[in-house]
Amino acid sequence: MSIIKRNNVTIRGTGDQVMMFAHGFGCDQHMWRYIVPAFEDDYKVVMFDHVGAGNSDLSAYNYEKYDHLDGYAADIVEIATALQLQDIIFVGHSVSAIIGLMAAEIAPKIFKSLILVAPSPCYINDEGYTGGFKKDEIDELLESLNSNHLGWSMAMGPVIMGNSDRKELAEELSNSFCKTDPEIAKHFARTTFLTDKRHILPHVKLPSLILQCSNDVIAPIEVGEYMHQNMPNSTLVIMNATGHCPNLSAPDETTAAIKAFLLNEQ
Amino acid sequence: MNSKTPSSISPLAEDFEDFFDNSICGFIITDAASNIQRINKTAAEWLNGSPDEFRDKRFSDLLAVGGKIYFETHLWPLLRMQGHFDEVTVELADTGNGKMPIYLNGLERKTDTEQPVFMRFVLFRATDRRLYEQNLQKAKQVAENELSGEKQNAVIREQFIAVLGHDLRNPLGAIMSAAQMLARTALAKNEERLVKVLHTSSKRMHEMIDNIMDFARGRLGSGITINPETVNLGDLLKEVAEELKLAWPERIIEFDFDIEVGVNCDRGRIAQLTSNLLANALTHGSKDAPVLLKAVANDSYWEISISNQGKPIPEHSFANLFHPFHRQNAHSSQNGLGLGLYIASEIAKAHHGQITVLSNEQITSFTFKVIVD
Repeated sequence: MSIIKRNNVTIRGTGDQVMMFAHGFGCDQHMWRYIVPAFEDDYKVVMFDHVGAGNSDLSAYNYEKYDHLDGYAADIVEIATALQLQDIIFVGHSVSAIIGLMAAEIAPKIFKSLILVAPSPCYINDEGYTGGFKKDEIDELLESLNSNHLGWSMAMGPVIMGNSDRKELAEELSNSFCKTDPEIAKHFARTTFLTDKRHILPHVKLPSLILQCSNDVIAPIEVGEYMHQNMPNSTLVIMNATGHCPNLSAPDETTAAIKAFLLNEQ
Repeated sequence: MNSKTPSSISPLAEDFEDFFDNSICGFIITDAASNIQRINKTAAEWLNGSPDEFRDKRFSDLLAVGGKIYFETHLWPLLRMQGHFDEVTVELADTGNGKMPIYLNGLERKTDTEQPVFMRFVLFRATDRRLYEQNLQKAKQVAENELSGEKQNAVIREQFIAVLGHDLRNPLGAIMSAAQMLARTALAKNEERLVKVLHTSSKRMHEMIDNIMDFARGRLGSGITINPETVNLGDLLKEVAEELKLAWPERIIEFDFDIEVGVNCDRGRIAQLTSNLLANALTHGSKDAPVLLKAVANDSYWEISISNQGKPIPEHSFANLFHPFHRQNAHSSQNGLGLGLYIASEIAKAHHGQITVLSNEQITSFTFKVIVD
């Protein structure tokens, strides 16, 4: 099966310089919709859905492979190899920022710089580290996903309607953006929120931009500061934007910060 | 709820302040970044506070941690991308008395230039509903567990059938060769008849075992495999008919062959298919009328058709005719295991052919047809 189809890779824009956008947990490539227009005149924009998300090929989901973020990182390298991409400016949101760091560790040559939007290398508090969550809170999240507590109607809509001839009903019930298979969402949540990748931060030598939001429940300000301290070639920008998705809540501010960083790097 | 006394009995004069505050569901209005600007009394009471206490809190702070993460990573992005979400189950974190499940709907209001202005959320209490859903989930889990247990049992049963069939073959083979050796010796008339009974009965038993083995193999995944070769269909069918006449000596089998070419098929399997269909016709057809064995083979197709007279196949039997262990008449000892037609249809499938059935007051016929491509 083609990697392009597996990850629902889409390519837009004109230009030789590649920008690759990777969405985070709970979303798909649609989340870049307010950011990409600002770049497609000057860059070749590559977007994709992680396997299990959006319009990726769900049959390619492998519980062993995606039990660790390494599986997702390998996919990014595979996409770059399949498309023969070089000198990529990688933009990753949330967990995909960390997946990007891991991909850069496997194949440093294919990346030029890393833009990390609301990243966190570890969500759970530890001695001398504020991740934002206590271990039992993450356990509670996983438990609520386990009992299929979340997204009941979104998950059930298509299942109830099944392959019936009333397809329009299923479509009406489920959301067209950020579709999630409940089983895969559960597994992705486990993989994401139990991750601790703090040890790889010092290995990243590529120029990196950390875009930290002001009031982000998922990645509090201490996390951005921690990353900046531990990544030798990093720039930290603390944005006015609040929440976890500045690409949706403050696209102008996000775009401006990315452009300023890229200008500086030229 | 401390409700104001409605100022008028006319519903048209509804006081919308009162409607907002004293409602059967919670209302929350946030700014575009999801900071709470207004919350009605119902929602505030559920959260064990008064509306003022929640101003400028982030909406997701009201939710238990699962919902909080879900809101920030999925629901809020959805609001920004599609403008709404519906019927999401989350829990209010702190009601002063533990968590409370709610259904949450959200809507984003935008300006003409697509700039988000504020967001509206409606909260419905879902305690009982949640319990009902949990019961459904539990029932589904139980059903799935039982089903998977039953499936395992079925596999074990079928493996047992396969082993039993296999192990019966050897002693039966010994009986058959003993009968054959006996037949070659000088025998009294009476003994000759007994040896014939031995021979035909053990042959029939052998066929039943073959069918059982094929059935088990089919169910256990390997299916019926065929080794095609060019076969003279007329000769093959006559051989099969001769064999069956041993068991039904008093019956007449008529032939009507129009065979122009050799047929590419598995000799043994087509013999088995024909034998099963013929045995079926001899068992269920009228005892006084002949059974007709027709065959056609030319460049475009070949077919084998077996017809008998007698009572038609009852309508209710039609749907299950080719199902394993289907028996037309549960009381008839002649029926065997009910695998004959099932095996025949599996052999037909393996040859990319099809068996069709016609049954009325005059005639019942089974036709196996293969289109040559």
